[in-house]
Amino acid sequence: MRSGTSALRLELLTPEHVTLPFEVAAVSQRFLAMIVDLFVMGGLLLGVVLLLMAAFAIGGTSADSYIGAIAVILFFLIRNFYFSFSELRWQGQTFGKRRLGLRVVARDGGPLSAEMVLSRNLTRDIEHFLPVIVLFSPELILGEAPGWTRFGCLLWLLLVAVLPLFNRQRARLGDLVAGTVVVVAPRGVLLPDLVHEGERRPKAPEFSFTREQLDIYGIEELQVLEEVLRRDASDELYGDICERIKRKIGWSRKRWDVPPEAFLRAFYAAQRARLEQKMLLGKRQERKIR
Amino acid sequence: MTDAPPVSQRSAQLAPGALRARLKSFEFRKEREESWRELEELVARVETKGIAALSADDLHRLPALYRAALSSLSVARAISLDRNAVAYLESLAARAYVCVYSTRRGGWASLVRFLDSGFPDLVRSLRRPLWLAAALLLLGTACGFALTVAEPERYYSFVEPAMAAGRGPTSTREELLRGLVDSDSPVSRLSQFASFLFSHNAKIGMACFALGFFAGVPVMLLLFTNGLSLGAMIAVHWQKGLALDFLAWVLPHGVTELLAVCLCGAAGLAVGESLVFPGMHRRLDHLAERGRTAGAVVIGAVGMFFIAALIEGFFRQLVDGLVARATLAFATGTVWLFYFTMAGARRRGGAR
Repeated sequence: MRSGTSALRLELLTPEHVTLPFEVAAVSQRFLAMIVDLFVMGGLLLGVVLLLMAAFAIGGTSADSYIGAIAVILFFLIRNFYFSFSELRWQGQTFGKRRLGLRVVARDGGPLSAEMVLSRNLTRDIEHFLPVIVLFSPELILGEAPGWTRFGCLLWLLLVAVLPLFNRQRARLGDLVAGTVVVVAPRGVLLPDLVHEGERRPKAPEFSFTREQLDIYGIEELQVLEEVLRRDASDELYGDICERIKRKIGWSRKRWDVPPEAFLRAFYAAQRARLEQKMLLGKRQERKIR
Repeated sequence: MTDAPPVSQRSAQLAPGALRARLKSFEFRKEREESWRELEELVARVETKGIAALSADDLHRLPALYRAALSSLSVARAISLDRNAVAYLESLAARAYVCVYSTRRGGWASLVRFLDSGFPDLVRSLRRPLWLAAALLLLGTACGFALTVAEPERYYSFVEPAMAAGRGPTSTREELLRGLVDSDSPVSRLSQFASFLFSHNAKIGMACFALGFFAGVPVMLLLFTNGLSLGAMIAVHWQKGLALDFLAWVLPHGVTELLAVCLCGAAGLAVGESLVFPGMHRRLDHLAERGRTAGAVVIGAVGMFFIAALIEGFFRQLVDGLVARATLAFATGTVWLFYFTMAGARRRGGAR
């Protein structure tokens, strides 16, 4: 539904007082995860039915009402505690959430407790199953209530069901009650340091920069350059960027013709060293000065 | 702009050899990278196979490595401009964070702890909404009774046909009496009935909790209407001189069931109260805090519904007489009273 819009960030303060950034899971992703979970639930229920049919066949009629009793209880447990159980078992993830890379965390940054998991799943019936039932067969729930009451109830239930669309943390009712947030399970890959990589290349003494040349650009430009270098862009792009930087910092005309990529890597290393040095002295230069 | 820099500034040029020594972030990363990789490997194992997959040693290393990664992150944010390294550390710390601070799989031990002290303690913390819920239920019962006695036809609007099971103001005394003696139906049929009742009641109990979100108003209505139908049933039996028999029929399991209903109602009311009267807290924080407590109470109440269904389905068959049933009702009431007032308090007293 809204996965296309910019991802919502959420900063959690861990008990160690370090803020960790998380990405709030999109409603569409959570919806898909729920569909997957409903299929799993359906599979479990079907399995129970098959088992019981086998039990009927073996046990004969003398035992059938006991089997029926067990069936009712199993259905109840699966329907109401599938989500709680799996979120307890897999640290805040159900099967569907695992497949879609989502995870439940506590909004206050503390540990995710069993109470939170149970509370957030107790409301599921009201939020999801009831609106669906009311939508398709209102008689089951609303009985012979007059038209305006039915309309009111329907509207109310639908509002509850779409609640996640209207708040910043994409929280459904259960999330609000339990104080939890569903986030995208973080994934990060540590790439080799660009400076490190540069070292293995042949030394190029002709790339030396003056302090004035390195004081022009700021952190933002440095990190854009980092991204370009990591992407292994085309030579054309390198050449283009190289030209612009050379002009901006006033690169000596005598040394004008340089291999673009090598120049950019050397410039990145020198620029980062300069900016980090300034940062240590308490001066964060965020952007270029002109 | 394209001019070469003045010659005088050439002296300030940085020699490439000096670069490495100046890049503190590079040294920093080289020093710490190994422990990051180790943590990443541990976290990946937990993510795929669960926390149980770690050996005792690894389990010991995990929090230490996690804290080291957090400190690396703090340092990296302060000194490093390598965006990839900082982003990696952020995601690594976040992944380790969910492993370190997620639910412990307590299993039986935590269940025993919950039953031993957690549940009664939580129930006592909901004392005020519990009184309110009980009062609403009683008020509903009284109203249902009075209204039905005054005008028997009202019975039909208070009691659902499924629950009435053919009993009503027009039933004869014998018909009513037959409804109270279910020994003629086989036990096996009743077991099915009991499990149905259990899942039905527990579902309503959970709905009660969720409905608390709407300022508790639907919860109050639900409690009151439940009382109404109970009162109406009592009235019908009372008019035929069967009030005591009816109570003896209802109370053996009813004590447990009504208590569980009140607990679920109290949980819903607590949730509603936290939203309407947040006090000194922020509304949503208060809601989250009360919501967890109330949710745990509802889980306990589901267990009570199960016990009530067992009593209704099986034990009531074994005891038929008025006195025996009254004793059973009284006994369950006493057990719950002692459980909720005494259990846990002992532990709390000891902790002080």
